[in-house]
Amino acid sequence: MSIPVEFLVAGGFYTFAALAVAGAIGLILARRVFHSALFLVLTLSSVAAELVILGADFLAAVQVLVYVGAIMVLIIFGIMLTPQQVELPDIGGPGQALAGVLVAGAILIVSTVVIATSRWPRSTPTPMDKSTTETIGHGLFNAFVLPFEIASILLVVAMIGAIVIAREE
Amino acid sequence: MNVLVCPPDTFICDPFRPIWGAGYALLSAFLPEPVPTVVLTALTIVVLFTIVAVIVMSQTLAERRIVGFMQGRLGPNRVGPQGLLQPIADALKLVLKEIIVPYQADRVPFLLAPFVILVPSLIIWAVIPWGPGLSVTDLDIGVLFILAMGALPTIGILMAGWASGNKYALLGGMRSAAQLISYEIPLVIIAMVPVLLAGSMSLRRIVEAQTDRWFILALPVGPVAMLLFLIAGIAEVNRSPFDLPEAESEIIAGFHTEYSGMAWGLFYLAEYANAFAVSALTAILFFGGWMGPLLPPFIWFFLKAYLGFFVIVWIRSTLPRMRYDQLMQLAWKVAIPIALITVGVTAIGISLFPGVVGY
Repeated sequence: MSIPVEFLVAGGFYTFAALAVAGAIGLILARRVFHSALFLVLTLSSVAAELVILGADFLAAVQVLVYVGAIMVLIIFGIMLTPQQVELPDIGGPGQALAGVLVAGAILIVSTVVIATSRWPRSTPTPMDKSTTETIGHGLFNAFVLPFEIASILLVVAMIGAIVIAREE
Repeated sequence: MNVLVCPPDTFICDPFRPIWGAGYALLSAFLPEPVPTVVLTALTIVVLFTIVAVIVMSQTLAERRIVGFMQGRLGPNRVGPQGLLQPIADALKLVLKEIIVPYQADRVPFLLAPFVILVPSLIIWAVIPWGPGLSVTDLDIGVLFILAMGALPTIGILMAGWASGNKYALLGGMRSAAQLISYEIPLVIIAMVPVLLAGSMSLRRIVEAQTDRWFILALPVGPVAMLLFLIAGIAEVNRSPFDLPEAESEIIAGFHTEYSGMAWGLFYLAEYANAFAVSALTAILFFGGWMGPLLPPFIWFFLKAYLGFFVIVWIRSTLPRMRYDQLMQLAWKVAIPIALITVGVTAIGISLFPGVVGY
């Protein structure tokens, strides 16, 4: 007997999905902000691994480069300026806990119902002979050049705004 | 200049595929798929990492001897002939030493940090082509993959610095984060020049595009891009004169102050693997990788990569460490503008004079 490739691929997919969820749960449950940031790194890296499994290698590399390599480093950089031994205090009493459970439970029920009853569009993936990089590049600079440029302008505006705010006393 | 002497499909040019094929034929006679593939992949990884470890051992000795020579002293020459067995003695010493976790340390991130730093610096060797067929895999996004993996160790350095519970380690970690973020930008931008010239991000195709002319000779952008890539690369791997994160005269040893034994050894291994990766990448992106007359391709690759490493050591023993503000000024006010202009000139040159500048 032999193990089919699809089984291995699915196994990898669900392993990394579980890791991503575990990272997200750890992010919320961790008592130290620094640990939360490290759990977020785990989640983002697992998502990158999922992208690799799904064949979107360009997106995976960009995910690692931008989110893990740049944004997370900046977040941790900010956290490092906080004292190390600080732990989050226990907030609120039983009343707050009850309210929290109620709100979270309501959101869980509503989102479960919505997800279960929605009719999700199914896409039939077509195999490409070109690499994903090439396809994305052609898309960005031909069909979607206007949204792409508008997004770039938005980022530049945000950057200039950040500089202006940071320069003031 | 770059005549491929050995035809492809000969063993010396492409030893990887025949060995894989023989191993596969042997294993698949007894075991069902996918066991042979998995076993062979695991074996390939082990062999590759062993090669990298041996390279690192040779580098530690080479660096100490070269720096010793340049500073008019001997360097390690007691263990074995010319000190050749020194790296083995060092490795044994590291393995035997105790790993001490400080009382103030945050235990799990503290012990995890060396792996977070080491693993990406080993993974990138999977895509580096040692010869025409000599890479574990040839990704379409090879350059991007290496840059993405090169960005990961920063997290490990920050983990080590923060989890040590030591203010010098923390300072080293912060310096490192600022430095790596700053130099990653020119590095990523300037890596686009060979990508534009070759019209591909695959490392193998970048090398093949240099059959007629190395990219360092792609005037006027080649030399500028090469120098900037080397400078930003040296800064990215924290080598002197950009070794502020571990400046021993100021902050003891920076982020790895509290590490001992093999935990420290992993940092050391990662640092040299990264330094060699920078020189290997410079060779691949600008000096034609494995291309060269007479000798087999992988010999040429090693010669060029070791020459790059020699230049890095040479720079280390020549230049004093930069001041922090000089470091930042060089990145933001010099390197990034030059990188942007170089990429712009390359792109314009390729679209205006196709065939002269580009592919």
